[in-house]
Amino acid sequence: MASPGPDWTKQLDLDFSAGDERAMTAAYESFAPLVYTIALRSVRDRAAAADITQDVFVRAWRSRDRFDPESGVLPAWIMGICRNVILDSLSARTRQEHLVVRAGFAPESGAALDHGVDTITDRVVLGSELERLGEPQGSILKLAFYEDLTHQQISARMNLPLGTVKSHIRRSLVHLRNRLGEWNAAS
Amino acid sequence: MQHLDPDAVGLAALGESLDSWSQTHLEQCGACAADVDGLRDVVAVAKADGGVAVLERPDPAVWEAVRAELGLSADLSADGAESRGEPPTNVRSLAAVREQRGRRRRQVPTRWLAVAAGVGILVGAGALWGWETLRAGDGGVVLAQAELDPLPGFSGSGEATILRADNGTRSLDVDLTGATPEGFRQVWLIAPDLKEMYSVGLLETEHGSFAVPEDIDLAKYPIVDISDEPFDGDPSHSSVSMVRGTIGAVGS
Repeated sequence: MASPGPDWTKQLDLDFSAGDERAMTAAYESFAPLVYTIALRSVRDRAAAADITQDVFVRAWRSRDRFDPESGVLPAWIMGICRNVILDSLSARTRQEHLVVRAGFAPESGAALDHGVDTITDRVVLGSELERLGEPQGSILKLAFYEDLTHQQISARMNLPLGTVKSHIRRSLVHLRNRLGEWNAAS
Repeated sequence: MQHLDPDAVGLAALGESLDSWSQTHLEQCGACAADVDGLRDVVAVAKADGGVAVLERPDPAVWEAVRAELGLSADLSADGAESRGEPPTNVRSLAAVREQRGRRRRQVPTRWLAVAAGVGILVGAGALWGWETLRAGDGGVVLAQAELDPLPGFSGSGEATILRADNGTRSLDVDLTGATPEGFRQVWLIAPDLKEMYSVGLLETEHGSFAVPEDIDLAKYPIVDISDEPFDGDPSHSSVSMVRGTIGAVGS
């Protein structure tokens, strides 16, 4: 399976698993912004999000012998740890309300809390993948997603043929769906 | 059986209306409906909070804490933390900008402004700005330069240069290609909070030179912004920015 990270390679999976500190550094460099942003959006507190980020990477390194590079990729594994650490952090009732309100779920059930973190994770991961789409695909999708423009309006705004816009929309949506699936594979 | 045109699957996932044959087919064909549903999930995630998820980088102290707690070698550095410059501006401050401007303008595409502002700041933070004190031909001394990059949905690129002429006056020289406005192009110097700004002139061709009075502190107004302004006589910013760049430290 292709690794979901930008410059993340199978070799780095193997190096991390084998205890190479440089791979740990690369993992932090590649994925700390994602972890921090997901944490920040979940707990809405910068100090708490920094603590969560620290905890995720400390846990990832300490439990690296449980990561199997043959069955999954490190980014997805780190996302799984991230989810658990955030849920632990949110166990206090006051923070539960914060998250579920943010994610648009009723503040009762634990399932809603899980769903809230998963939704935030998907949004942040998708946002980062959107930034990597390249142009003009990235701009086309942003106009469709965030400006609610139709493909005709996008074609006019970007001065691109209609067929090109339609084709980019389909290909990019398929690409984003596949990427989201890869990120979620091991969590 | 004939199925949906593949591109129509993407449009249906976005909620666009289809022609009547495609619509009828979609209601009857499980395979095509499943294709659309698979992509609709992506659209739902993207649209869930109505804005770009701007990634934020944790404070470099977090890496130091991880390294210390795990006892990793001190010579390992998560280099991006330093080399990529300041972390992107807080998303919430952009929302504040959006509110502020929504009150001031008659017709503000507020969501677009927020998207544009977020990306503009990311571009500014990620780009390389250095100032060089070079002789620029007969035009004077170059105090600072910035690349101008397009905001989403726009094309065009160029360069902004702050010059000091031999007589001591400062100017902002703009070279811009490929950014065609619907109205006209106006050049601005904007503060990082996007609330305060100076209009320095109109850009008619691919090159323009604009006076920058000494009392305008470029450290406080470092963002060079070129907007698409409608011919409506309203002197304020249209909120439609086409290209933007950020001037770093300015020499003297």
